Amino acid sequence: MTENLLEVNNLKTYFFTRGGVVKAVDDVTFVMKQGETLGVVGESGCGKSVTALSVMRLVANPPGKIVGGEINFNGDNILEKSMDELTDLRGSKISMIFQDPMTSLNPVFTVGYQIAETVKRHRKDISNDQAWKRSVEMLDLVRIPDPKRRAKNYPHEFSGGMRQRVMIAIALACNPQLLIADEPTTALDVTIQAQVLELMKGLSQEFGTAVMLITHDLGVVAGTCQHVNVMYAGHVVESAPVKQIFETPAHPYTVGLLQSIPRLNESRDARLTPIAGQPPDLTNPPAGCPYAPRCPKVQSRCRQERPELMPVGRGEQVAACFYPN
Amino acid sequence: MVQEVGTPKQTGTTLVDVKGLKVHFPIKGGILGRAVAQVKAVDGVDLFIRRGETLGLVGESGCGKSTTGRAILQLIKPTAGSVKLDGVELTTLPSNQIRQKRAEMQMVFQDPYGSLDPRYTIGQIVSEPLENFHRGNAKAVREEVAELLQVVGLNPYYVNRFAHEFSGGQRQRIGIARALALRPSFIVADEPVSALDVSIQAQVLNLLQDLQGKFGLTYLFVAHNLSVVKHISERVAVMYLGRVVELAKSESLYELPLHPYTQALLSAIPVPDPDLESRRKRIILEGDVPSPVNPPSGCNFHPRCWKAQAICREVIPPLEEKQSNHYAACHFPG
Repeated sequence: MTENLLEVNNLKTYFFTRGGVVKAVDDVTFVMKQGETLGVVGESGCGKSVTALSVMRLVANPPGKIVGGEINFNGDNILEKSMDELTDLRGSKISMIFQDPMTSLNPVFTVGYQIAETVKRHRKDISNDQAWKRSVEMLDLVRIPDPKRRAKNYPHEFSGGMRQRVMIAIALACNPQLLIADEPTTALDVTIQAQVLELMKGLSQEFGTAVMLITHDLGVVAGTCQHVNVMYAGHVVESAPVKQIFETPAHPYTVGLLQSIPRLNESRDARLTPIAGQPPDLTNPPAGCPYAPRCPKVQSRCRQERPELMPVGRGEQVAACFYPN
Repeated sequence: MVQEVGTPKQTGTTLVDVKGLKVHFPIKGGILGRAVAQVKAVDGVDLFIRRGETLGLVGESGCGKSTTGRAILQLIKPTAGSVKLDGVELTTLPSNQIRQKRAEMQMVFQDPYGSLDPRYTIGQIVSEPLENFHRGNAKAVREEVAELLQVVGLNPYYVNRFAHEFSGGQRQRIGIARALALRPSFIVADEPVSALDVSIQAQVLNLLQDLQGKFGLTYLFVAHNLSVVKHISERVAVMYLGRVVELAKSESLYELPLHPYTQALLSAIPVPDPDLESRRKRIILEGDVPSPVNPPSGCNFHPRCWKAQAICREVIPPLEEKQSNHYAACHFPG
């Protein structure tokens, strides 16, 4: 299938606070193909989570509001859907897992109940027994040992990594077409992170689920994603297949990001090259390119005009920069 | 001790010597509040840190790495074992002498938001140690604070601002300035960059390295991020469930890990290189870290280890020098 699963066009999500309007997501455009794993990377406050929440229409209003653009999922604009239509969509066609597995489960219900609840909400023809069977099946699928017994346990009886597996089980219970994972392994230790990533990769391949993986860890992106969007200050500044992001980064921010991470296969004497300064205040972003104040290659044009995403002549790679590498 | 080529700052003498360090926290229960069990957070740690070097201490959450750092500084009273700083035994020192010793050993904390008093200006925060130790009159202290701020890359013009006016990276610089105020010889840095974004993280790591060269500091660098630890440390100690399982020069640890846990840990780190990622063979450990209240018998890694034999369940493997300067606690290393 060549049709795009998700098309986000000129999305603008602003937060109206007492300190001013925070342009958390400002004119973001990207597409996701069926079954593709898209990585969204960037530092805290760059708008990656707000982009995901906008796709789910979960931005808290007030203070947040989607003020412009469109989000087409299977050709339908999500922004025009009613609340009822949205509830039908969430959990069945688009699911989300969150960063914090400790607080995203309800402590007073068994995990089996919480999985069954999702299944029953979206399939009216299913009996309680069948829904429970599906719970046990899902727990087995996410490799929880002894799923029959564990389905009757409460969230506090599981460790962090296991709770994140339960979240994945809930998210995948209705075979969604799109799974949004917002920093799914940030709260987990590396060995547990490896388990969870391996599981997500396997399941998305098995069921052909497209995954939007939001993370700040470039290593996670390298191992799991096919395509990468790099975000900075509410904008997508570069978008490319994963190999190109790491081998021929075009935007100076992507270059800076890659240079500032310590690597295992480097000698100790190599010095890190940090990005000078700090990300801009989004209530008062700089005119022109948002990265201009920190950019080593800045020219006077960068301070006046904001560059759009443009092809840089290497296949699908695009970057929002007047002077790409 | 052999002098190493290319690292002149390493003078080779031991500054910090830790032997058999144990920290057990009681779990109280029942109406009488008696101790019903012990959390064995640190259970027999041996390590030494040479003057001028950085020893990295890595491990997953709950392995006891932060507790080890704090117990070395006597911020937590160790249950057993010995800690020597420059030949002086700290565990038996009376508290007033410990306080004097704190001028020589300082700490940088993980959370740049929680570790600075919101009601103090940064000038007050950085000058507090100087005043506690009566280092000079008000004018001298003021000058010293200005210099300290400059050293950590902050404009001294900001002395009268409060911590909330600074970003995470800047706050961590303030915490470092405070730790440097008394010109200590030894600093325990407990996850100093894990709350920071990568671009800011690199700034703080470079700063820590510069300061080490400038003031001849010795660091115990506690972190869970192995790439960061490798970058900054000469030697690395890997902890698992309250014990050091491997201790080696950072290159040899990363190139040839001997302990199965270290091997699994290294293979689990995602590497920012898609080619390498697709070729790597990953060791995925089964299950979770066991509870330190009731750790497994023998080698406490045996329930998750693919090499475990009968002996691993019964005998605790000691931390031994398996290769030159490469220590591992395993019955079947390699």
